[in-house]
Order: sequence, then C-alpha cells, then structure tokens
Amino acid sequence: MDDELVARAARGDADAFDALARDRIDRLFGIAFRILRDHHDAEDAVQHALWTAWSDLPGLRDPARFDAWLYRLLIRACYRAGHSRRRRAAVVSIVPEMDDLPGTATDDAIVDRDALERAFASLSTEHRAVVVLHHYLGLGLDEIAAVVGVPHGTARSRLHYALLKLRSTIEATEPPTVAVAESGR
Amino acid sequence: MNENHRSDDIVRAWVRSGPEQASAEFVERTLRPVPRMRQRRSWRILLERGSRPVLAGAGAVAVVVLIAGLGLLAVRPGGVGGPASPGPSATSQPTFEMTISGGGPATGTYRSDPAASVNRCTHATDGSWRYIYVSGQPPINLDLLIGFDAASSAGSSHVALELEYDPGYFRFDPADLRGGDTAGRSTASVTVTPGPTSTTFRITAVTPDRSDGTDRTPVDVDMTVTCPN
Repeated sequence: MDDELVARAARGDADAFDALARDRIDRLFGIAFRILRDHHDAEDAVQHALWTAWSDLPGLRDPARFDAWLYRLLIRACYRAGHSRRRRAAVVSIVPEMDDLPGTATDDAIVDRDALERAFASLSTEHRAVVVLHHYLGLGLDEIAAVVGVPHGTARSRLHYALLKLRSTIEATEPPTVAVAESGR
Repeated sequence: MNENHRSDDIVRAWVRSGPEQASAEFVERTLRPVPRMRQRRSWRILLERGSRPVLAGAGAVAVVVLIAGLGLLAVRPGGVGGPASPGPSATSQPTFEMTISGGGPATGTYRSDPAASVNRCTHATDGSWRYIYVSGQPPINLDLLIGFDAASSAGSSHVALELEYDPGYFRFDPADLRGGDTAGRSTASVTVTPGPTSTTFRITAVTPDRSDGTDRTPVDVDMTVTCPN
C-alpha cells in the first residue's frame, strides 16, 4: 500500500506524499527531538527532511526503501542542525565534564534525568543519533549503519562509546547503597 | 553485566520519554507548501550523485538536497517583480534583491515577490539568522544562513547561501556553517545593519556556478536581504 503511495508521490502526486508524510511526521519529530533536544531545531530538521524527500523522491529507485531513506534524510538534517548550533553557540562549553557531575543523589530519578540530559548533550550529534535509533526506534546495528551511512563497525563503536558515557553518568549519580551495605555499617 | 543492563534500561527509558507528536500547526506549515514545490529533475539527481565526492561532507549534501526541494520561485529576473530595493518592510515581510554576474546561465537581477509562497526570516536565540524563500516563476529556491557573530569583523565571512534558480544552481559556505565548502572554493562576506524595525544584510560572494552538478565558471553574487526584527 505504501509502496504504491511512494510510487505515486515519486511521479508528482502531492496528495500521495501528504498521506505518507502525515503518517510519519510524529515519528520523525520524535526522533529529531530526541537527537537535538530542542523543539525548534527538531521542527527545522523534520521540515528540511520532508521537503528534501518530496524534492528527491523521483530519484528513489526502490519504494520499499522509502522509510530507511527518509530516516537517512532526517539524520542528515539533524547533523546539519546539530553542527550549525554547535558552531553558532558553544553550547557544549557550558556542559559540565563527567567528572564534575555529583557523586550522590537525594532523588535518584530526578538526578538521573538531569545528569543524563547533560551527558547526552555532551555527545556529538552522530553519537546521539545512534543512541536514539537504537533505543527509540529499536534498530539493530546493521539497520543503524544503513540509515546513518557508516560501516557496521563504526555504528557499533559509536553506540558503545555513547552508552559507556551514559552508563558512567548513571553510576556516578546513584546513591552508594551497595557500597554502604558492604562496608558493614 | 547486570549493572550495564540496568543502566541501559535507564537510558532506554529516558530516550523513550519525551514528546511523541508534532504540533498540528507545524504539520500544516510543513506540508501545505509541498504541492507548490517542484520535484528535482532526475538528471540533476544523477549528476549530483556522481559529484558527491567533491562535496565537503554529508551536511553539505543534505543542504544541497534540501533547497533543491524547496519548490517554485518567485524571484524574477531583469527587474520584474517586487520592490526595487529592499528596505524596511511595511508588511513585515522580508525582502531581497540579488544580482548575479560573471557567468552561469542566470546572470541578472532578482527581487523578492510579495506573493512568494515561502518568505520567512527567523532570528534564532543564539543570534543567527535564517532566510528561506520559495516562490514565483521562474522557479527559485533560496536558503540563507547568517552566523551569530556576522556583525563582528571576525564573523564577516559567516554566511552560507544555497540558491536554485531555473536553470541554475550554486551554493557557498566558506565558513563551514552547514557542512562547508572545500577550502578556497568560495569567498563571501556579509555586513549587518540593524535598524529599529528591521535588519539589513549585504552579502557579496564569489562561488562556482554549479548548474550542471559540477563546479564551473565563478559567479559574482551581490545580495541585500532585509528581515523584520
């Protein structure tokens, strides 16, 4: 069904493209927001991706690849937004280093979220994209590599590095309950 | 290992939390212009695919693809069209005037058309500006980005433009705002003149015409854009 819509849209049928886009725009926005962590930038990236998709759809050879292709356009738009934002304003410079994060927490959940937000912001857009594709879309490494346009090993190392950093943040912010118990106090 | 699983569960839950829906206003704003946007000619797609290795990076590719998608345009060559020169707009609409000389298939002067389907300036909180224009006959798509520090001497080259105009195309991004040019490919400068109701940008650039997907004869670009504050 979607293949037929894709084929019609590729022939210039704007109604078919509208139907395809409306069916996917929430998901696209969800991905972009999670990568960029900014409402405005996310909307910009989604708009960019969809307009590009409409423009270049006649060049898509396999309609069955439409979703993967659209995700790829979105990820590129997110890279662009992320790099532009980083150049325009040194956001990362105000993000505390991992070593500066608090070592204990009075509210586990709240501190986890806050620390995760900061740790995530300190990752590059490329690393954030891999985390979101894996944990939000549920894509495997092969699919991530195809969407992002990098070798499997690169996708794996990006995910590994990103998760390592996020795990260390979580561990650094958790109350030392286990250590206290083992100390025999 | 269990600790890793637990941490990954926390990360997964955190990533999955957050907005799941785009606003209805955004959906309409994004999809409404599509029927008026031109689809890229397949020969041009093939040409650009073949020339991708010369692009500076994926960001540049994305930018190329984007504007090309933006649709029909309104800028009219030879002085036909909107106001003769950009100035503070009584209707709060952005305006522009652009002269292309030196080579390429679309040498001439172009002006914004008040009836353009997309004619929007945005001033980001970080101080950067973006101008998108899509409208008219013949088709022209324009996407301009002004860096946040363009008003300073250090930032005077912080401007990127992508323009598709039937039958031509060029882009420049010497300061690498969007994925960039290769070094030395283009030169550009911008001066920023703030006013009480609008801000005016004067942009000059020299960049290769790329109408057939390959860098060709340099074109000189002289452009003035006025954005409502």
